Amino acid sequence: MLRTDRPLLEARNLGKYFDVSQPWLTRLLEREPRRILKAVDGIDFNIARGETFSLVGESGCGKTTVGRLAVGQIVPTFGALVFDGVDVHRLRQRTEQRQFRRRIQIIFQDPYASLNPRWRVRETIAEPLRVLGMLNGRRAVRERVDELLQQVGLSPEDGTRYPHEFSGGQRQRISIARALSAKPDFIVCDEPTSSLDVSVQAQILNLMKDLQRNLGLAYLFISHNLAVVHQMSDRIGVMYLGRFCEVAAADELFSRPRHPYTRLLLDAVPDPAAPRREREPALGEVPSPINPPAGCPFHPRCPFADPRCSNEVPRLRPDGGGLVACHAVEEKRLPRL
Amino acid sequence: MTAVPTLEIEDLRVEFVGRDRRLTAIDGVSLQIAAGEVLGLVGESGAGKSLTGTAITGLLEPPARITRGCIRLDGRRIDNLPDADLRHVRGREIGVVFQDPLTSLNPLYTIGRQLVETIRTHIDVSSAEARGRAVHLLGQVGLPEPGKRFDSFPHEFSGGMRQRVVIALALCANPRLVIADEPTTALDVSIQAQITGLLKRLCRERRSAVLLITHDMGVIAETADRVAVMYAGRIVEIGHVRDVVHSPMHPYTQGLIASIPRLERRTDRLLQIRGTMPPLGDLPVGCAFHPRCAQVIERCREQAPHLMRASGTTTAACWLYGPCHAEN
Repeated sequence: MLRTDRPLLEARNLGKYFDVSQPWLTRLLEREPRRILKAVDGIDFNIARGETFSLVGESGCGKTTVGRLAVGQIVPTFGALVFDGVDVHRLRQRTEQRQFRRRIQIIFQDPYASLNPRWRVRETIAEPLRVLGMLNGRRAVRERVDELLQQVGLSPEDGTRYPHEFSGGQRQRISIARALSAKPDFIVCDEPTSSLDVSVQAQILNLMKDLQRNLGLAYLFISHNLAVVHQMSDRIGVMYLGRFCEVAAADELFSRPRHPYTRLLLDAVPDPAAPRREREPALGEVPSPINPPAGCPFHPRCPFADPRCSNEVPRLRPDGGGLVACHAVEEKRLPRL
Repeated sequence: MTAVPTLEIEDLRVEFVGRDRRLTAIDGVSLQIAAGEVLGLVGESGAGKSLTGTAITGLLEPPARITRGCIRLDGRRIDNLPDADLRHVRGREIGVVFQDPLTSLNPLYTIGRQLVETIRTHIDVSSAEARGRAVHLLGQVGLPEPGKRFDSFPHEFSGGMRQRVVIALALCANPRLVIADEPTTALDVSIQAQITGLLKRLCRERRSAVLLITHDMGVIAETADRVAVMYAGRIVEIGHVRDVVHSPMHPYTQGLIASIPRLERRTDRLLQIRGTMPPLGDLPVGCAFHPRCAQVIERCREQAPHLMRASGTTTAACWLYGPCHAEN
């Protein structure tokens, strides 16, 4: 393989719109227009080999849609996703598609729903190998599965058991083993620890970091939990209603958040060590992505909004080490933290 | 403490009684909450925190039942009341807020109708008066234009707004005790602070006691006055929130707090507690935490510890603070 400096995954003006209109006849009778949900509305990012790029934001901001686009599960409305130099959604040949599927895997939030309850763990983990035709012979498959089980902290004997015999954390280990079985170099992790208890979450996050270090994996890490994202990421993109409002290196983002929304999010996280009991709670709620506000989508909740913010969509501009989409930041109207 | 606490639980045991075996889900739980006080009950899944809340409301479903201890509300026993009396206590004197606001609201009735119905069930007022109260209450929980939204259905609200409506429902009869079971877990982080702040303010104004059940130590730290940590059906540590969060005494609490990723600093590895909580049917002899504990001593394997004074306001169920060990 030719090693180059090009990113492993690159999103170029990526967008996904969903048509959530009423049926045709209802629309006609009720004189309703079509309704389009702009889940992802033109975002750019890239992820290098061995790097963790995180998407963080509240429900409905489009982070999961980006994850589904990245693994090729849904087709973008516009823009492109380029994986190792090839446009993911224009793979015509089966062999190419197969290569892509082998190299990019996904771990979901709910390990109860993402494992087949009727399959032994061994079969679940071996399935990608079988589907992709990677190993020949039962022995080879069995050896690989045993190796994978050990890699994620389970024992080879666990392979003969069924998912219901495991706790949530162990099930997530099984999901990770399945994702690793095809030797991918990129894994989309969609809220991998959100349904786990904190002590188990720590185990899984540590495991994911160890695996990344040992296997040189790149992660697209999707989470609503800022503290988890800080722990895991190299760079972070903060999403709001389908767009980035800030993209920055993790330490930079947490020590010097620039966008008012990032500040709001960081301020809202209850921190056990430093409770801010008498703080001002955040204003309002996320508006519906079907009818987003004009101009900057965040302006109705933003304490620094002015008339320009309600008319003109801010573009991502370099600021400090990262990118920020905010008129107030650009005009230097924001108070320093 | 001289005044009678609003809620007092004494040596509570809840068991699942089957034909051939009994599983003890909660054992020896004692706690008190004063009027206007928020007690946080924290622990991981299966620790018995929600079951404790269910036991207080008298909503335990067979085979679960209270097999020892008692629960008092304002000094009056409520764990052995007949169903009809209990129904009166529930709703009137105990308000409940659950995790998912969509399941606590009836999707077929407007929120106004649900509020008026609840108010009139518990308080003897005319329907016009009940409507007035309901609108006032919706305003208090921060619903914009409460008069206009009165006739809206639950699905017309966002998650945060629904949870506000549920809080209004829980508070509408001015209960003595509010049980909030993971009230913010289903909400986005920017809404969470609004909801916990609201709950705390309204309950303090009304001098209601609050039992806040959650797995989120951050929510506890910001909202609760005191905190009780549960593990495998027992309270392992209880004390003022500041003391417990900053200097946890029980090894489990120490591990739990250390394993939370932090905003302000990043570590190469998170501290982790090895293993997982044992299932109810398979609790180890002695302290239930001893197989996972790094500071285990001989006595832990033999005898279950009771709560002992560990420091200032904190008591912990750990032999490290036992009389013999402390002397060494």
